Amino acid sequence: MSIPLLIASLVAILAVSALVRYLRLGEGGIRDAADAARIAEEQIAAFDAATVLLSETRTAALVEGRDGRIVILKCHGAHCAGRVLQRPLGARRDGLIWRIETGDALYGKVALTLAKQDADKLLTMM
Amino acid sequence: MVPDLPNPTELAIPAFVLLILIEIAWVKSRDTRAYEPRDTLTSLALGLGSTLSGALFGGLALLLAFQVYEHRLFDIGFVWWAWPIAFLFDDFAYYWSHRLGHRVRWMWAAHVIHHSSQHYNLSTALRQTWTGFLTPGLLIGLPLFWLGFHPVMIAFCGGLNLIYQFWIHTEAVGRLPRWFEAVMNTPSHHRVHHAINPRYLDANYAGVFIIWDKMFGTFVPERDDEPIRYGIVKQLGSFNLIWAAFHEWIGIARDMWSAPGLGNKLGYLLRPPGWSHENSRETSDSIKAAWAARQAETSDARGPAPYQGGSMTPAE
Repeated sequence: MSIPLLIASLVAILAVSALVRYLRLGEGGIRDAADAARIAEEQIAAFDAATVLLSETRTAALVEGRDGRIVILKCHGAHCAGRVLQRPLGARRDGLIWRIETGDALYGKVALTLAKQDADKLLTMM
Repeated sequence: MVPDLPNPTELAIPAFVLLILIEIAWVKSRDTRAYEPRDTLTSLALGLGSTLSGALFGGLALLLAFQVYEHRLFDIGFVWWAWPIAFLFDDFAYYWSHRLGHRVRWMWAAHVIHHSSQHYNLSTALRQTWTGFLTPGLLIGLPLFWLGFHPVMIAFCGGLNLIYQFWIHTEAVGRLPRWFEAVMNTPSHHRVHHAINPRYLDANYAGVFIIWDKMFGTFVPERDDEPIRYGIVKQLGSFNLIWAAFHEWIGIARDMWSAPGLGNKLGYLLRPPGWSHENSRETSDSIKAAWAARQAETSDARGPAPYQGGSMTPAE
């Protein structure tokens, strides 16, 4: 690969990505609790969602399954990525925001903004 | 005499960019979630990294190919009729290399990068491996050189194969005429390949001709009643380029380090992705089996379809 082609490719990459951003493509989020349940069931094999704690930011959710498993969902661009969490859950509270440990460094901690009622439910799940 | 052939993939770059722009215009008016800025940036940057990796390490593959070619059975040369045969044979080798790329974790480690996006658009096509030269996939094509196909001819055919595969990474094209869908790999067939829905896992490995999947039992048609979800079974949840390129290699190294016994260590390298010695993880086979069991339960719970009339009795 020649240097001019390399530079042209880099320019094209940045231009196309900037265009996608300018057009506001890829804006996603979790619509509601039912959407969170559906996403969790799609992401984790044989998972039946029972209880959903949806972050008020609509960018994350914690879903407890009928079998007791807990799945965390994090919005990742236009879509979500999920992880099954191990009990006891690791979480730190900062006001209304709960930062949930996932044990996956690259996936990172997930912030949930929860109303008091949902925060109480979270405490019972941990 | 070896002809002076251009690199077809490099020549195709302007067309790639143009088609991506056309697809973005299409997406803007239909499904604005089909493209995402950071995902697009990651895909395109991974494509550039793959080109650089090919430039740095592709010579090793060519060197090996020439070593085998030295011991060829026939002097085929660059006669006109050898080109279509070479293209067909190269596509056949691609099918097997690709199939093993999904069924052997060592090879999956190099190929997973291509499946790591949760989007399916033309930019996804450019997410290509950085580490293919570290896998035994290249060995699958070696019999072609032994038969007498020139390495430059096969490299050129491989480039054309890759260009063909670019345009099938799109949701903008539905189904094509039946005769075309029957023989060629198409956007519909390849959407199934990128799907993580259990019914679609490990299917449609074809490069250009879908006939290989039909011949070897890996063909699954796309259904209209089940929306496709893309990506990998355990989504990355990260746009980090380095993590996308190397995460499975790191996973293999960790598993081999901690596994007891040589057999288990080799299992983490040679068995399917998701295999674990204590059976604690999910493979595509176990996911499909769990899904099939659930489907059966659901259909049992519903019971037989109610009688709708007509003359047939239950005994019939």
